[in-house]
Amino acid sequence: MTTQLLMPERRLSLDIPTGRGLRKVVEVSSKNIHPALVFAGDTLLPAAAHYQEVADNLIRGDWWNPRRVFVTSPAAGDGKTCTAFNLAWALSSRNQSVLLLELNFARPQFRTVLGDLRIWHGIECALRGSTKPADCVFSMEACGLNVCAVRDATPFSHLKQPLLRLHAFLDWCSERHDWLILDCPSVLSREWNHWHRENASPALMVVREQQSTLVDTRKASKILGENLKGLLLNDSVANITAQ
Amino acid sequence: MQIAFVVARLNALPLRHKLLACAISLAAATGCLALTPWLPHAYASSAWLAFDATAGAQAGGKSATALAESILSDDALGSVARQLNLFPKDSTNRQADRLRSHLAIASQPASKLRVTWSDAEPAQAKAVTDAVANLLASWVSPTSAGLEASDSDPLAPAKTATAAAASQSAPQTENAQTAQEIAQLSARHQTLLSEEGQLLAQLDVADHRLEELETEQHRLAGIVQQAKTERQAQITARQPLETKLVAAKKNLDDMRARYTEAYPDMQTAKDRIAELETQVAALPAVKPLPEADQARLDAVAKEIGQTRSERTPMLQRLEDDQTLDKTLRDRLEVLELPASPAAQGVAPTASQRPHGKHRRRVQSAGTVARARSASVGTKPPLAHTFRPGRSPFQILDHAGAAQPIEFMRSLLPWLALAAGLLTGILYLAFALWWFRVVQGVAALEKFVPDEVAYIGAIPRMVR
Repeated sequence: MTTQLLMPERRLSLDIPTGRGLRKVVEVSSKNIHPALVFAGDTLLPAAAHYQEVADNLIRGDWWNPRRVFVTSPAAGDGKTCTAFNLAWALSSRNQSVLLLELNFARPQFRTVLGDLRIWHGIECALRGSTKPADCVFSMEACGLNVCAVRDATPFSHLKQPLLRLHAFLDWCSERHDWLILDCPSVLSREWNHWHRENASPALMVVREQQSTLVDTRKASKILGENLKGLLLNDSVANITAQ
Repeated sequence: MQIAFVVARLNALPLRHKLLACAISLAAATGCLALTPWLPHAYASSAWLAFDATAGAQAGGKSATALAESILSDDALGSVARQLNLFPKDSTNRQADRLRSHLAIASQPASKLRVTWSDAEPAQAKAVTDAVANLLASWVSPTSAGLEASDSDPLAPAKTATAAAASQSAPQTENAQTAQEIAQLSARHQTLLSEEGQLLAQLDVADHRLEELETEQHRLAGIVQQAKTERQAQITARQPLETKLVAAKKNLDDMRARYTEAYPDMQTAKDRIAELETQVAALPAVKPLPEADQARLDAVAKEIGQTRSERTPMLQRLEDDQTLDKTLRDRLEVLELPASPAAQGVAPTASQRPHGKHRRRVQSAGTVARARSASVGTKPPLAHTFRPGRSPFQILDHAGAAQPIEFMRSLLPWLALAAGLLTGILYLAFALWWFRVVQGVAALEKFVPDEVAYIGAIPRMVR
C-alpha cells in the first residue's frame, strides 16, 4: 500500500523549457511519482519533518559552505535520489532558492521517479554546449523547486570533455540559486571514485540502515576524506521505535 | 526475528560470495574424495580357538581374553614379529607393542576366542593371525610346584635327589624324597614343554614363510626359463642367415680384389648381401634376458637359504628338547610306576590333539604330561583337572583369507559432504560478518572522521 493510495490524487505542474526561450507547462499525476518523494504525498509524514530538520541544520550551519550538497552513498540503492529530492524540497519550503542537479549520468533516475517525465534538454546537453544552461532547468511550481535532470544515459567514457565544463556550470547555477543539491553516483563506483575525491565537496553521504554494509561505508568515507561533511541514515528503524 | 534477519542478509549477500561459498564447498568435498586412493587398504584375518574354561581357571583363574593377553607377552609377540620380519627397524618391545596394536582378541561366547589381526597386506594378516593362534594353542601352563631347575643339567636336581634317596634307609624318608624329585622333574618338564611350544610356533611361521618363498621361486624360475628358451630359439633361427651373410660379405671382399665394381658378379654378390640383410632384419629381435625377474629369483633364493639356516638351529633345539623330554619321561616313569599304578592317562580327545605338521612331537610331550599329572599321587585327578602340558586353547578354525576393511572408505563420501557443507557455511558466516550492515547512528559514529559536522537519521516511511 503506498502513500498515493491513501492520499487523494494531485496533479503537479512542471514548467519545462523547450528551447529558444520557450517553455511548456506539463502536468504530472502524483500517482506516477515515486512514493518516497514527500512533496508528492503527505508532507505531514514524520520523514518530511525530519528532512526539514536537516534543512534547518544546513541553513544554520556555517560549516556548509559553499551552499552545495553533493548527495552520495557508498553503493547503489541507498536512496540518494529520493533523499536529494526531499532535501531540496525541505530547503525550498524554508524559502530558499534551490536547484536540484542530477550528476548520475550513467544511471539517471530523476525522470523515472517523476513518472517517466519527458524533457527537452538535459544537463548533459548544457555541459556539451549544445544548449544554454537555462534551457535544461525546469521548475516544479507546487514546491518552488528547480530541477536539472539528465535526459539520456551517458557512459562515463563520453563525459571527459563535458565534465571539464561542470565547474563553470555549477558556478552559473550558484549565481542564480541559494542552494545546489547534487545527486551524485555512488562513491564506490569505479569510474567516479577519483572524481568524488577531487570534486565532491562538501558531501552528504546517505546510508540505508540494514542494507548498507559497514565495510562499504567505511571505505566510502575514506575515499571522500575531508570532503565528507555529513552523514544521513536513511530508513532508520530506531527512530520509528522511538516514536 | 533473528532468523528472518539472517535469511534477509543471506539474500542480500552479493551473488559472487554465494558462488564462492559453493565453489569452496565443492573444492573441500572434492579434496576429501580425492584422498580416497591414498587411504591405506586394511585387511583383517581371524582365527577361532576353543577355550577350556576349567583348564583356564586352573591356569590362573582368568577369562579367555585375559589369559590370552597374559600369554602374548612382549617376548612372545616379539619373536613372532621377528619370524615374520614385521617392523624390522623397531626394538623387541616396540615390535610387540606395534603388533599388539593391530591385534584384536575377543571372547564371545566364553568358550571361544577369536584372534584378529589387521594389516595392509592380506597374506601377512593371515600369517600373523595363524602364528598368534598357534602360539596360544601351543602354550602350556607353568606347573603349580613352581620349582626351578638348573639350566646346565636339567636332571641334576633329580640325580641329587636320587642319590640322597639311596642313602636313606627309612622307607618314609625315601617316599618323601621320591615325591620331591618327581615334583622337580615335573617342573623342569613343564619349562621344557613351554619352550617346545614356542619353538613349534616359530617353526610354523618359518615353514609358512618358506612355502610362500618356494612358491614364488617356482613361479619366477618358470618365467626365467621360458624367457631363456624363447631367446635361444630366436638365436637359433638367426644363426644360419647370419652365417650366410658373413660368407657372402667375405666373397664380395675377395671379388673386389680381382674385379671392378662394374663386374656383373660383383653386382650379384651385392644383391645377395642386401637380400640376406633384409631377411635378417625381418626376423624378430632377440629378447633380452629378464634381468629383473632373475634378480628377484636370486633374492628369493637367498631369503630361502637364510630362512632355512634360521630354521635349522630351531630344529636342532627341538630335537634336543625332545631327547631331554624322553629322558625326563623315562625317569619319571621309573619313579612313578611303583608309587602310582594309575599313571596311565586317558588318551587325548580329537579336539585336544595338537594341530600342524609337528603334531607327533607335541603328542609325545602330551603323553609325558599325562603320566606326570597322574603320578603325583597325593590326590586323585578330577574329571576336568587341568593337565599341565596342554593349552586351554585349541584351534577350531585357522585364519581364513583376509577380508578388506572398508569402513573408513564407505564413510568418506559422507565425510566429504559434511566437510564441503561445513566449509561453505563457514565462508557464508564469515561473509555475513564481514558484510554486516549499518544498524543505528551509533554504528556510524564509531568510524566517521572528525570533519563530519552533521549526522542525522530519517525514519522509514510507514505506508
